[in-house]
Amino acid sequence: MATTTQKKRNIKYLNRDFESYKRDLIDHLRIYFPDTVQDFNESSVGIMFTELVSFIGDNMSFYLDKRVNESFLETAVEARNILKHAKQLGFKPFGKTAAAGVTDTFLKVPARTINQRIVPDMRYAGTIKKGAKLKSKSGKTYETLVDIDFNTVWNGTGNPPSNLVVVGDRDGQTKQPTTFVLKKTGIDIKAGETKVTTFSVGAYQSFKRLTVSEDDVLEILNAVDSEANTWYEVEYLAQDTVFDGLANTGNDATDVPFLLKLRSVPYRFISEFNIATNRTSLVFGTGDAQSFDGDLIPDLGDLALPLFGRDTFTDFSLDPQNFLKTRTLGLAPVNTTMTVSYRVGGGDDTNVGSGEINTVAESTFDIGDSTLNAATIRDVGNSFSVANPGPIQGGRDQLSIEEIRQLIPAVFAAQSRVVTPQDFIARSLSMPAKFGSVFRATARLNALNKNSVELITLSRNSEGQVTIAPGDLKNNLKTYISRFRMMTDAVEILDGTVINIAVNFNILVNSDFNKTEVVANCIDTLKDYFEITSWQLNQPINLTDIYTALAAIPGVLSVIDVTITNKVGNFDGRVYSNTTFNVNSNKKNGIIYCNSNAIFEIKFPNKDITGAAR
Amino acid sequence: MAGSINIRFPLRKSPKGAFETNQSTIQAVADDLRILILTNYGERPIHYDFGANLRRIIFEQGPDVRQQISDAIVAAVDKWMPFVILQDVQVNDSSTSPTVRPNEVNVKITFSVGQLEGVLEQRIRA
Repeated sequence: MATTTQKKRNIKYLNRDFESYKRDLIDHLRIYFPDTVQDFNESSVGIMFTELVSFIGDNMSFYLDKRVNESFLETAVEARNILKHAKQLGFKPFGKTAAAGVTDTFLKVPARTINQRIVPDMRYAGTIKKGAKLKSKSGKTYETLVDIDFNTVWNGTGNPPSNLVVVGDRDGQTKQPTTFVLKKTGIDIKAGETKVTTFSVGAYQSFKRLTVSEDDVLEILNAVDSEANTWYEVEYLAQDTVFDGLANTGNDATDVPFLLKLRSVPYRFISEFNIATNRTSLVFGTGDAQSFDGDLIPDLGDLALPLFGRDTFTDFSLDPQNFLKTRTLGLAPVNTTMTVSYRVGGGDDTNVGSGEINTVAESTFDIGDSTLNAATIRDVGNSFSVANPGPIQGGRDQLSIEEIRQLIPAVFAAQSRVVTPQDFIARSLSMPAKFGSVFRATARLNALNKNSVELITLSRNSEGQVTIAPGDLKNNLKTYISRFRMMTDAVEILDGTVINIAVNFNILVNSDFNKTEVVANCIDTLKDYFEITSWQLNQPINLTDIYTALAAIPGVLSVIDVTITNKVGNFDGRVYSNTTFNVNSNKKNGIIYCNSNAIFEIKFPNKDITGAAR
Repeated sequence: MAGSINIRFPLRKSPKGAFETNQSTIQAVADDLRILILTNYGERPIHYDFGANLRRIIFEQGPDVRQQISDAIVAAVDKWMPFVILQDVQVNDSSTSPTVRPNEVNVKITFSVGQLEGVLEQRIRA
């Protein structure tokens, strides 16, 4: 049998740098080409070639390492690559952020005599329109975010509230009030300044980009074209709806001021912040706004392969641009003028302490009654003043590349979809308050239909008591969730159960202490313990905790007993929930359990927490 | 048959394929010396300071330029080819030799490697 001997050369593949390449190449030459090259000093031509090859190997190794490093978020060092990773993982880079907070506002109105009483003339208590520009002592600009209606300070009946209305000026001789100062508290303000710019847009261009020629744009507030179409900002161009609020005129308008609707937005854009240039751009879609006919869904028939009488067909190429010409990514403005309002400013230096914002730079005073004295109206408008009672915080400078790298994983974990029960709960609780506030929520799979999720909710009324969520709130919640849920998931929004309870305790008090005082302290402690904001659905009552809390109060020698009772229906003018709950049968080992959709509440703490001392 | 020592410089195509090679040690070392004195700093990857860096001296014509060239050659050989013993380095320019044109220098190096002796003559243009 013939045998073949294959000469196997020992080649090392782990060399990465110039020196190791050169060393091993020389070794290779010494072993395999001893009769061809014997001169290995740096001056020889052969070594020059060897070094050139080693140099190329070193370079290629360097760039290979670099490319691999740049492929991973953890090891990437170039800013542009980190930003690409950020974009891929759903992180939207942003520039400076603006400090925000609340301020107190004041308006001086003339005095008026009604029924021989000198009171504020509320006819002059008009509205300061939102967008009033305020200045801090350091010269930073802030804007009010809401209209300030001073007419709501006092309705004209009874005595003006002393904490909101004080005498401003008095007559020099009679010492009678001539002006009153009205106070509105908790007015939202934010650092930055609203500005407007216009763009002249020419012929159609897919993914048209309009860049605001100013640094530190905080947010795009509004974009309107010359045909009066409002362009809506969306998170991504494929998002074709936004949430919109309609004023609720129903009976539950107090708890649910707005009804949530999904608005279809063919006129839409995304804003992109370029961290390198510090500029913000509006990026539009691919549809032609001039030929827009309102049809958002492409005619799939246009994309089908025409067979022209044949019954068979083979593979065919498809131009994906055909799909892009649809309007599913929104429209691009064409031959129009785009007016864009935006807020600019922000940064670390917009954080200020209390009392720092004390100047009104610009405001618009609106008063409905045109029969009033114009000069007085002007004086009242000019009297508008502000003072922030607490610090204005949250402003910060642009994120560093390293900060972006650290933030990306957190953003990636926070997806805009609801899948798990925790997602449903978190999304329910995050619905903006003007659409109704969900106080507690829990989610579980429907036992009969695994594709159906039961979302159990409770809300609170204006007195802070837990209540069944109003119908409009549940409708709003359903609309809100629908944007995030998976297509195959069905969501049933169910009411939770409120179990109203009362607590009674008996304690033994040290004779050195005042019994009444000790009992009062115990009641205050239990009020804190049962404060509803500390309670969740399905949270049991641990009687040991109550015993421990009471025993820790100075003067309490021992806790004799603690009794929990269920309160149902109407009692002494107080209306409780209709849920009947057997405390004893649900008590086990000193813990009182409730169902997963129920929450314990002491609805009237001043009445339902009682105690006695011996 | 004696084997090749190194590749000849300047490069020449060999009838056997690839490049012609030097068979004698003296010729091989002479070619290496030629490469060394014709190389200026920065021309060789990685070894920035390889060479005699004569161009800089030749461009800076002065009264002691021939001495500077001679010193640079001695220093370069000492660093990069320490196995070579320089017996004499003569540098001529147009002022010392009528055969050398202006803007040129002629370098004649007499050297030895072990028992072997050789001479390298190289003309360098500014």
